Amino acid sequence: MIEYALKIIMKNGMEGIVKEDNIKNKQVRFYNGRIGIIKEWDDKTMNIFMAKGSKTVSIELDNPSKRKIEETIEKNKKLMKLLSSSEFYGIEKNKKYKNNKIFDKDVLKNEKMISIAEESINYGGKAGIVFSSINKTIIANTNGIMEKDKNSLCYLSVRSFYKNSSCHEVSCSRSIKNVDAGVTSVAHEMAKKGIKAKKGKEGRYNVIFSPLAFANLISNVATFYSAFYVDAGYSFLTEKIGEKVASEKISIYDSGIAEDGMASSKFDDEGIATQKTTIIKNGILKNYIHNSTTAHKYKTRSTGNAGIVAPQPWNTIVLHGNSNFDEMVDEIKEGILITNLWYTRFHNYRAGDFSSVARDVAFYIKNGEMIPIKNIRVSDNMERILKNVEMLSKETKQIFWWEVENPVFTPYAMVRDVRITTS
Amino acid sequence: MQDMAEYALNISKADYTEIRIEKVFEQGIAFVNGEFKGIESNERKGFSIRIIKDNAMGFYFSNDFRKAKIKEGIEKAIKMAVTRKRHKINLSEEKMEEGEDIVKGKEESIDKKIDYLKDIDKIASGYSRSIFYNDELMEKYYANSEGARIYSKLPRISLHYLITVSNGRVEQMSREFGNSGGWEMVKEWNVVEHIKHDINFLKKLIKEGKKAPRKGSVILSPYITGLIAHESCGHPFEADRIMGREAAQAGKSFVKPSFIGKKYADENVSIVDDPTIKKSYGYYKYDDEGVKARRRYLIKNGIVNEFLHNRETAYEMGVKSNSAARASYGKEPIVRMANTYFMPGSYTLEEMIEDIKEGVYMKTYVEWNIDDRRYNQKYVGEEAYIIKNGEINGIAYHPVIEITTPKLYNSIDAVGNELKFYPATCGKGDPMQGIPVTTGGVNLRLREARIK
Repeated sequence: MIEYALKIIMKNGMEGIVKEDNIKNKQVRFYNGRIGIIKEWDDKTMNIFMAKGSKTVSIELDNPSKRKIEETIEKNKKLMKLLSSSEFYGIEKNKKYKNNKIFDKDVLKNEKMISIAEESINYGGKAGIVFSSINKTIIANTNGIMEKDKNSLCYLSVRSFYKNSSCHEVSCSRSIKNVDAGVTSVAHEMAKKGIKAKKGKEGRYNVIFSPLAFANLISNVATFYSAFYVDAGYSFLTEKIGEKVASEKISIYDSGIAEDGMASSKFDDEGIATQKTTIIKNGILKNYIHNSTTAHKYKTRSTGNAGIVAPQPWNTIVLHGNSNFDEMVDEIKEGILITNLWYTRFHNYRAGDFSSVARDVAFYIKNGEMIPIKNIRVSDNMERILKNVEMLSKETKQIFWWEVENPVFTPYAMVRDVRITTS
Repeated sequence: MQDMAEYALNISKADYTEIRIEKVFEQGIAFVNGEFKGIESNERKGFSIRIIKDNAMGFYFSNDFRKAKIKEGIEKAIKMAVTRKRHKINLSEEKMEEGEDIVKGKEESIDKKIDYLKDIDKIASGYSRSIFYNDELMEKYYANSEGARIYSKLPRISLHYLITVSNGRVEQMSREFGNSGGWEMVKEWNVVEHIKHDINFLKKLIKEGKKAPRKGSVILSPYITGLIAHESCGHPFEADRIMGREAAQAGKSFVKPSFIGKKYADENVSIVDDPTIKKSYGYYKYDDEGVKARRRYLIKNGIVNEFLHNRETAYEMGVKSNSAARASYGKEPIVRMANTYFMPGSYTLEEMIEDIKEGVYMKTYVEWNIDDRRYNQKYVGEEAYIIKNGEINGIAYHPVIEITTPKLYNSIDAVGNELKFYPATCGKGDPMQGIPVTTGGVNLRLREARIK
């Protein structure tokens, strides 16, 4: 099919990319300590990008026949005549593919997924999901690329409740073998510690963010370093290449080639090889992520992050530090531990002002003692948060769940003088 | 569509079977800082099967329309349902509908759409701006083993912009427009006037914005009260949240089943969720379980009247479904809102202002959030004004209301008489299901609120 589509595009004297995805997803969903529903998706889609000069069209088709492909290209060829020119300067030449990522054909096995869910329930998981996916992809473009890839992922996202307290944990990997239901017992024990929580007090605190909480903030930063969103006014990183935007302890990478990165992929939506790109190095903003079009505009090379229109992050990696959680607790003397965040919303994307609600158990820490608190919110500025990072743990964890839609590998982070507000 | 659906129902050996066949054509156009970013189109056609076998539920989706695939889907869904010890699932008994719902919308050629967007873009030239336009036509055939047979055809159209004005300080305004219907709706949006207004306001905000008083009465416009109705009444009244089905994702609810008949708000407050409003972004005539849509009175004169139910939660709570089952393309139907709003009262805006010694009038917001139990919420004003001695007295610089739900709903001492609606996309479910809704309402006045 893919050769057929590309042949028609070339016959019409156009540049183009055709990508076919064959995705099988499965989910075991549990709540109130029992499995409620098992769901499966079997999805085959074709993405066609066509360009004539600087006039471009992108089309996504569900499971098309040859006739449908022919009709669609013909229809869109006519439509292109009516279009204005858009920013398109051709698809960049490719680099060499790197591919050492894990692939596990067993991620979709019913019994294995159900076992993880049941084990998690036994550990005290009240509600959650086990989600698995296999995506077999083939891409071809008019630069002569024709390449296949296959990707797998599996993750457990679980919330444990104890009386009025709760804690959330995830276990994420490209292989089902690495998904550990045991994280549920960690969540359960933390939830137990959270009972009798009192309302938190407003002020500025040194805050320890767990990987789940810090990943929420960093996944937002990941969108902001896409050159498209920079141009569109959605980024506090605008016009800051080469400037200090974070503490020198912070180095952040985008990687499409991480061995166990859930978003790792051999190529991007233009067929260009993915890579590891330095975004922030010791606090200095080094790069945005690019597709061929934004790279041309910024006079640089594609970073292998297409999105045809908007470059998209793969896996975001926050470089670990030398500390550990206990040392952070000792260091801050008085502060707050936030185990999870959600609903991070910006009131000014360009300035980076935002707030985010502490979901699940949080603790006020004083001289090593941890006192449960509730109803608090981080109301601060993203650049200030990054600049005030003082400690990072050695241990990092891959986070991916409902609230963190781009995978983030992150350590615990201790941030100085975070503004906390309450209702 | 019908043939495939009947085939599925005929071969299924489940106790209950439903099939939803959807065909969607979507088109998106983006302009960033005057640059046309091309066109993206999606043509999707798939079927979703949900079955119940021995009180256990299974779901299967595919976009492969061969009969063999439908058979495979049903068998897989049954196999998935009966694997292990599970929740016992039952559906409430309802009148199953047969009918159709066809909404017509004016079509427009692509070059006219682009011309329109260019015209809008020109108004904001000189400022950083992005404009995203989207339209879709959705055809759906729903059938289940209890006799429901529903065909619907629904066009939707929407536009979103973000404008950035910098002058020493950087300020941003974003707005969304959207309706069920076609190109005829664009005229009603008055986008050009909104952009002009927003640019002027942002300039003034940078120049003249003053700190709001720390305490006082707060008037919230329908732009904000709609969001409030959605977030801290609609969501906590979703029965699946109350029962814990969404606990690991969209969250739980501080509302308990025992709240029915109890006080939730000041007695002058009534809130409804109504899918039957024509042209609204959240419009539908039949829900995704074959139940005819009706208005839901969530709060009546301050008292909790009913929750939002699909057939599963209705059975669990021993009530009837109130047609709140909705599904995104290829996803399971779950409890959702449609058009949620505060019912009008008797106050004009002028009457509300004239009684205030010191306070704030918040007309639009830029940031908001709420915890997953829907108890602690925050709204940051964008276009906002200081009120002093019954008069507007300058622009307030980003006043913040951070307040609990009981405090907010019981502080309302005046309800406005002018009803307005705004479109939004509500997120829930796992995998995430974004679904079009309308938030709306009237001006509300809160007495003695803490302002930050």
